[in-house]
Amino acid sequence: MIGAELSLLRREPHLKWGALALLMLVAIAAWNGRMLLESRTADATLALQESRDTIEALAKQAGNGNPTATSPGAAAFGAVSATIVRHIATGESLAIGQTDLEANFQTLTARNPYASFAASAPDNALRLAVGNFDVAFVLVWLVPLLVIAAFFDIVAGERERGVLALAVVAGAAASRYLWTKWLTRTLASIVVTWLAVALAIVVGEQTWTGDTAIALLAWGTVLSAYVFFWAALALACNVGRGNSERHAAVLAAAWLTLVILLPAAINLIVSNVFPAPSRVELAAQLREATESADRAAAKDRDRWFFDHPDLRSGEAERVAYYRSVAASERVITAAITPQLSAFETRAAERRELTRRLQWLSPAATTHDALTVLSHTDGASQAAFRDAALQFHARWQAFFFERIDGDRALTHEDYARLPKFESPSTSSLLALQRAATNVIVLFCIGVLLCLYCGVRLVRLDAILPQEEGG
Amino acid sequence: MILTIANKEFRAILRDGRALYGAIVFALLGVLALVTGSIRYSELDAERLRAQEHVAEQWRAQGEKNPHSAAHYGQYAFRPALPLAFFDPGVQAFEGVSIWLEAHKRNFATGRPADDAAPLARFGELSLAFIYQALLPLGILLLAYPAFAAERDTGTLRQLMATGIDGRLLFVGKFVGIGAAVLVLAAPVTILATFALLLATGTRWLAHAALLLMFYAWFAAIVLAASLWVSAVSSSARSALLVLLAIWAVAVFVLPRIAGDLGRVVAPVPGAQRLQAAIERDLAEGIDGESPASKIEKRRQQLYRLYKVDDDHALPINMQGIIFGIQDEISNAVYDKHFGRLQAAVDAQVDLYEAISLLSPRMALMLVSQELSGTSIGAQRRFADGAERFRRRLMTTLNTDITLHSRSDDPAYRAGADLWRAAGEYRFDYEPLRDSLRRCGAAAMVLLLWTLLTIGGGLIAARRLGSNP
Repeated sequence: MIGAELSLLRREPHLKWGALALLMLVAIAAWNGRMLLESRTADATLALQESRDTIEALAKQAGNGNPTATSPGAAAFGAVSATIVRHIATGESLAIGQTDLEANFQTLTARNPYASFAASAPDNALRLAVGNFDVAFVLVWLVPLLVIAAFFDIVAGERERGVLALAVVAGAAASRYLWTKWLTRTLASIVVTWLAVALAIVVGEQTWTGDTAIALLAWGTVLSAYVFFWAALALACNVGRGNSERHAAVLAAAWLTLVILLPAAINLIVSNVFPAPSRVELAAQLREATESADRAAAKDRDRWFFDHPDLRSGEAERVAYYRSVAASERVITAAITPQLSAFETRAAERRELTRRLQWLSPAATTHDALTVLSHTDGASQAAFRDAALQFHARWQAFFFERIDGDRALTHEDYARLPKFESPSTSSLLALQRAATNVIVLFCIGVLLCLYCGVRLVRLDAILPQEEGG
Repeated sequence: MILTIANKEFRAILRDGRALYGAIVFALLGVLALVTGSIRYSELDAERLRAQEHVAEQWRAQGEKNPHSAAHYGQYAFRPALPLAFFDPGVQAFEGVSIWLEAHKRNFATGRPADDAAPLARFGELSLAFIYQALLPLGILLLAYPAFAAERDTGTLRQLMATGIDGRLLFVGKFVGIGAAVLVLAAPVTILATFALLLATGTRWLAHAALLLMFYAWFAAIVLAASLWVSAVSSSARSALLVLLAIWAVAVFVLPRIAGDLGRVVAPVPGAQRLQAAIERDLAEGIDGESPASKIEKRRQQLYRLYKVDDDHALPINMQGIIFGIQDEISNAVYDKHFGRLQAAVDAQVDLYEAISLLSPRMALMLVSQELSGTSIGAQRRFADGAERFRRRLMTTLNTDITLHSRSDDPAYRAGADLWRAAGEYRFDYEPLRDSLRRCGAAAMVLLLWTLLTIGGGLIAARRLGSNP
């Protein structure tokens, strides 16, 4: 029976073309993700190299007693910057998530952290607003449509074409016939999904490692559970009343609700329960802090037209100028750090609430699992920002100590500059989190199947009477 | 005849319980989007007004200081929330809300609301514009797909055509009937939204709102004509529904993302690091072959000749003010060059997006809707350019004050509240409607092409119904 169903499936042109279209879209999305990641990596590598070259050159000049290289102030507030780069995890090109909103590297100076962290890379806001065309989008949004196309008439269509009546007359149990049909189509959909994931990884990943194989298995498993859920939902819809058109419309409405409206509603709830602190107010607070710092230093800073120490001659003037700048930056940093932390705290609260509410939408659950596996979820980005803030504090302290103590920078000091370590991405932790999502999807699918089982047993009892009548 | 057919279609739809349920869901979602959109708009508007006033007050009350210190202290420009943003938030979340207007530098807008967005934000925002652009077409196609195809399934189409009726009359009648039903079903939310706008802002934005309504109605008519066309050429209602659902998913969700990312590949925006490096290089070397130091020296010699002196101290003006002015002229030219390139890259991406909207009228409508709601890239650019023009005026005022009211090497010079008041504060000017409309030309052309295509195709298909019902 399975063989017969498979050959029927092969003869349905809309499914064949639909599957091919899906594979093509996955390949395009994977290529697109790879292009994005490659350009971001190239930018980061360039910035890192420039930063290293500058530090190396200054270290040499410091050895020769160059005043700019030996002045901790000139280095801290102009000549030297630290480029910190986020570690790129396997599968990142496949689930871009919201990583496109943040650069994967930051260039930090010893000025207040707002100066480095508030800036966002210039980009096309229209593109950002419509979202990325990545593999996670294609699979989470479009795979259900393919499943719906394959399943929307699985019971009603058989009834309408009279096949079910024929099967009953031939002595086969309708439920067994339908379960076999459903199972065959479910397995076929899962196979197409695995093919799509494999294709995505072949096109999207630059190198193959042990992690790539794990990514393939993990993505395949998550998406199998997702396909299983949609297949079960389609069957549950079909065992109810109505013709195949009605089921198609209901399933389309289900897709709209579960894939678009519920995530949007969750987003709305989360944004209203935990509204983000105001960026406008942050700017105003920064202004207050700057004003307060400037007032404290105003008398001195006017001597240098605020930031033109070059207009006054003498080493003492330079030292005094940089001490004044460091004092201002210290005041601003102290005032602004709690505000930046408030943003992070609120973001963590939002993530937590989203995680609790995401179970309402299998699409959100699946997307969460895929971004967790690719380390492009909010928590991974927050970990990077946290590490960056901590690094910034060490970087600032390194220079401020020397500015306050009027200690010239030496060749060795440049070697002792703080080094940034991107937070490690634990695959095991990600797998554990994704496993919870898979189990939830699988359990919902099983519940739907149980419901269908009950309804199909009733169908076994009703159909012979209908045919006899 | 047309009215009879229209009347029959209209009554059939209103009698159908599913249409009523659909209208209720549409109204509920619309009201939710309206309420949350209005609250968000009012909060943002009040907050930004407060912040703008606060910053202006800080500027006026900054006390006595050297004008160049005040130039570094600078001002902030906050982007106002335009009233129709409650309808279509557009790209606002992906653009910064404030720009620091300081000496020597043109800064990017910072504080993108999207940076604080909840994790599911990229699934979509439940705004009125989204509901009208994505859900209304779904409602229309669900109402229209059986128009011809279901009659073909039941055999009534053959009977109808046998009476000798012109298929085109049938097409127009169904178009009018279903269109009227769509108007009735979508009316409550539309009226409520218009009423809310009138209540909040009077008639100031009524022309924008009327044009928005017109474009949305135009779009709905295109979707309806396309749905009837597909229904007329489909072999069955089932296949009409499947084809229309597939077209809807691709046109509404897939193509905008592909277009956005294709733009990024074809016309990449320079990364922040590269942009900054290029700006710094040009600032140091000049962009017209003449170094800043050479320009300053040339101007100095001119002034020496004019005042017949041979030393800065002998000048009756402050040479430093002149130098600041020259530095600003140079930096303005450099920023114009690099911001111009950046904007050209974004424009190329938007042009490509417009070109691809030939495949999806939703994309064209999205652009028009953002323009008329004041939430487009063009509107953001107007804000940023206006802020930059003000910054340049502000710097010129402050540099002129230094030049005319102090002497060279006079760090003790202080200006006070009179100058700060005379320099003014940043104020946003609303864009005239005709300027916004000017940017809608290409998108309107796309909608016109779609109108010709769908109505023409639909009428041709309807005429053929007579020979092949």
